[in-house]
Amino acid sequence: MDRISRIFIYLCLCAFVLVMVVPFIWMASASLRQPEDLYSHGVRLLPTDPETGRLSVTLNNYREVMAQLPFGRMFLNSLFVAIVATLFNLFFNTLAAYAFARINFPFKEKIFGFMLASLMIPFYVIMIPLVYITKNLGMYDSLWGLIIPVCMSVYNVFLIRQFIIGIPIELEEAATLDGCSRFGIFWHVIIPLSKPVLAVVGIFTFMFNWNNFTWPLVLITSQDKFTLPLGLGMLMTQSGSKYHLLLAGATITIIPMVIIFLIMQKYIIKGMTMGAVKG
Amino acid sequence: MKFASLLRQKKFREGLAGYLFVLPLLLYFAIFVLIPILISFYYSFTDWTMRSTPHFVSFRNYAELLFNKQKQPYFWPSLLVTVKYIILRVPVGLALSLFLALLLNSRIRGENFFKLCYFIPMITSVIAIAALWKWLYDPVTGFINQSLALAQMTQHNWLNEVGTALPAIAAMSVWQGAGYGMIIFLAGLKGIPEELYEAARIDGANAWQQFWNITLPLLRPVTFFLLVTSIIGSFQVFDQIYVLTSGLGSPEHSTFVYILNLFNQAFRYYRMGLACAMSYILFVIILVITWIQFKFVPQSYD
Repeated sequence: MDRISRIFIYLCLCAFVLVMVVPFIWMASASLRQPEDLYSHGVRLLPTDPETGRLSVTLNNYREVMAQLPFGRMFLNSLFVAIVATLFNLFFNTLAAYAFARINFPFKEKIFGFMLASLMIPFYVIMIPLVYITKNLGMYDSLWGLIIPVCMSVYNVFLIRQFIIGIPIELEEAATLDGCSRFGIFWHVIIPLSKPVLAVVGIFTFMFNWNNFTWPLVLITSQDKFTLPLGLGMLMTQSGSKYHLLLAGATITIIPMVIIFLIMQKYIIKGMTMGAVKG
Repeated sequence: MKFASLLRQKKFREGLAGYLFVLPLLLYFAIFVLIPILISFYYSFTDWTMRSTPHFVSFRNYAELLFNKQKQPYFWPSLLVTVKYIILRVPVGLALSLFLALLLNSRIRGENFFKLCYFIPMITSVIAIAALWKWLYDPVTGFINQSLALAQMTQHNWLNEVGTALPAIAAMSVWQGAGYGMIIFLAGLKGIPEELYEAARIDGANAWQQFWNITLPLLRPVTFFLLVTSIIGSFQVFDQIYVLTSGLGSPEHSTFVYILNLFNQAFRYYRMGLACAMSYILFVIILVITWIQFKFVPQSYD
């Protein structure tokens, strides 16, 4: 490729970096500025004083938003829901995936096919009965109500099963000869060997639950059970254009996910193509 | 005794083990997937409100939605708004994703860094994104209008004008979703054998001809996959519109999409039966879209 088109490609790529990333920097920077400054001047890359140009940072917006809604509590709620739902998903989905991949039992293929077919059904078809069932199980307006109805996923079972099928069966046969039980094989052989797919499934389940809005919206009514997206959504519908609050709340919501993403990026990018191109 | 002798048979033990392993999933599936699907279907033929005992009303919910313009003035308009949203969101989104993937596929250094950057909007909460963009769209202090003022171009009250609200929300979603399509296209591009391009170059094809005659046709399965999944996804757009319009689909119902209507029927007016009927109409629409994909699109993704 000649030099000019190479330069052109780099320019485009860098321009898109600005488009994709700079709004987040504006947001974080704005959340640290004085509200008066924020409303009289537009976006700025760094939280500087408009007159002197020096850095001037305040945490007042965060204090104010935490006085309006219990953001600390919401943070812990989100963390609890996302972590517990992820652990449940990893354990039970892998358990089932292993059986579908390796154990022969009657109607196996039929059950699996039937479950896969259910993936076509949009969430909104089951949303209303799900509220009703969760209510009847005594989990309405509770954190467990956010966890249990999403504690497993047929789609994840499918992904993990595909991976387990690819594991050489000799490893399990060796373990059987050593006197390992079925569950022993699952726990000591299959789970360690499935780490790559479990990392992908785990991170996506965490992300889904951390960011989920619709389900908390229909299930949760009391403030001390809010998750971060739900609280932020309520803030948006109620206090309209108080951007100094919205941006502080959005920053609190976004930062943990971005940190996790930067640590686990490899798995996230792999996971995106997993279901799509191979599926 | 009989059970004990059964237990000694290897085949029976294997089957039992299998069922024990899938038991949690089976229970979960029955309670949180299968029963809700059936309940939803049954209640779509009732006047259920979640508090009252449901009465069977046969097809009245469906008939009201589809034909009664007095009682359901927004059913058809909300479908139209949703289709408009799809038209605004999907083609631009696909084109942008493809463009980014092509840029990244030209053997440049720092590919991972760029990927990382384009991905950040993708992994963040759509509510936080909506909060951020609400500020950018603000008529007075927002970045977009301030830039337009600098360039001496017409400014808009983006989220509050009938003509601009839906495109503004679609633009936000395009921005957020570009990274996903990019990564799928990139996987497709990496699967195209280099020899094809070499052969084309020997035949004297220029870059544009190579793109048009090799890249695009070979990307067809990936493109259709993305097309169908993003149409289905956009059909169910809800979160960002709910928080940006306080659940109203304002201004003047110009952003009143299908799911917002469903949500309001269920949780504002407590017409659960009617909302269930709406959800099944949605399901049929999605089935048709999926059927079209299976019918007309090559299935091999390798």
